[in-house]
Amino acid sequence: MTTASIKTALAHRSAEHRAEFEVERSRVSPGYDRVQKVARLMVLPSLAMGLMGIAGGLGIGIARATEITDGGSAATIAELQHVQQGVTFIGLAFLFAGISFAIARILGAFRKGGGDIQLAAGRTVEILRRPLTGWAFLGLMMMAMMTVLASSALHFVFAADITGSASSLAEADDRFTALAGVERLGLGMYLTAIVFGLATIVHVLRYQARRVRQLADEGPARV
Amino acid sequence: MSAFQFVGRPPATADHMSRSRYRDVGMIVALAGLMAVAAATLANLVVSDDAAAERQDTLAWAAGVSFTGLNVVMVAVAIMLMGIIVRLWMRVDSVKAALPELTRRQCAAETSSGPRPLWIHRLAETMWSPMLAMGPMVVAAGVGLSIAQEGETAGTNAFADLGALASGTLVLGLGLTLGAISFILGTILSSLRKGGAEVQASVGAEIKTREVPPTVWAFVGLMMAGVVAAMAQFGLLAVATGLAEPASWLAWLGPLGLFSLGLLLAGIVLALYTIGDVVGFQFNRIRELIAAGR
Repeated sequence: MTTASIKTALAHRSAEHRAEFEVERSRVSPGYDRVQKVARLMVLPSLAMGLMGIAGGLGIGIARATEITDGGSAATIAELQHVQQGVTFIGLAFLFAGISFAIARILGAFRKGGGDIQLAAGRTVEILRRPLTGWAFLGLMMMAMMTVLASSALHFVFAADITGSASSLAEADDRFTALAGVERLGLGMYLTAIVFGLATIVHVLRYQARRVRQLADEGPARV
Repeated sequence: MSAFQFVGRPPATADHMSRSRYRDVGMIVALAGLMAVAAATLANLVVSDDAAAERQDTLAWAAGVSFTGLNVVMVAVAIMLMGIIVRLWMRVDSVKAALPELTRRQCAAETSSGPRPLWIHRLAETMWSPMLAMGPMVVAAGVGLSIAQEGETAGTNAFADLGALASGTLVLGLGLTLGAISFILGTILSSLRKGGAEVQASVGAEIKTREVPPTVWAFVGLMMAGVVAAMAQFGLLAVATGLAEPASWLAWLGPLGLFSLGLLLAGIVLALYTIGDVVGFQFNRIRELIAAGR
């Protein structure tokens, strides 16, 4: 391969990468964006809420087991089944939200840290715009949270609806079956959101590996 | 480096501009898993109005498909984390290449004075791959039990026992896969620690490493408690299937399974929280090296 053809190939590749990495240019470090600020605040409260939810669900499960052993009423046992599931899934929803917030917090560290380093080196600050996977992460996470929280709320509504008649108990069982599927779909959406969040981190790492090498070749930014 | 050597540090000559295959494959696998969960949800919704005795067969296989789908998405999370490990090392090589110019320091012979890996790092690097192999295998066994349950007559003891065993096995499989994800996160923390020291040593600077924060120990504790609880619920469910009246046992063992998964998820939150802290610390250190040169 001749020198000219190598240069052409490199120029072509560089253009491809410019198209792949949309950036904003600035003379100041961008800090965290709004989502990342919220995420930094919400990680630990979500974790605490989640742990309380799953512990509460286990406690209600034990109370239901005691009710069964003691020969309690079928209505109470069915009510406790709905309430236990609702509380546990609220806990799981908050734990998944905690994971999502922690991923957004890492993305914030890359955004702020990347900007700070470019500034410290006296170069133009280039910050990667949120890629498609970042938007998919946010959208799926919100849909998942709404799905799981809505089905948890329905568990409480349905528990309050149980009267103790045979038809009411059968209906409670039907409703439990339907909600179990919806909850698992919510968890699947949460996990998929997390995959997209991690995909965004891979994208950012790839961009930063390229950008940091550029810094060494670039001259200082003109003020 | 992992036991299977298919993920770890790429050679220094690796192309840092190339697309990440892990990222592409991970997203495809995740969407496939989500579709499986959606199909099982549809099955649940379709039969929810049928008489309780008539829908049991469908619910048996739908639970198997649903948990398999969730496990597939968890495997996608693991694939994506492997991609992060590879890219972290590429970033270390890039920073090492650029730092002498940015700090005006000469490249220095790398010393071996970096921090020694913690026992949890060594454990994580060794354990993630066997755990990742075991999790899906156990889930597959659970699906097998779900299929066997579907073959039994609804309402019989055999049907109920197989259902309990299948649910316990599926939860154990998910617990092992989440354990594998936790160990990969531990491996990422280890890579960050080694890579950070390597970058500082490459310009002959004093090696500063973040002290191990309490969140790491909480992460390890929650992960271990989660795996133990998942195993306990599986063992106790196996015991309960031999009892004449297992209903009261099943009433709390089901929630115990979800509790165990919750503990593992809580550990993962703390691992990611710690990664965020370490990344912030390392950016500050590089900025310090550029600004002050030491």
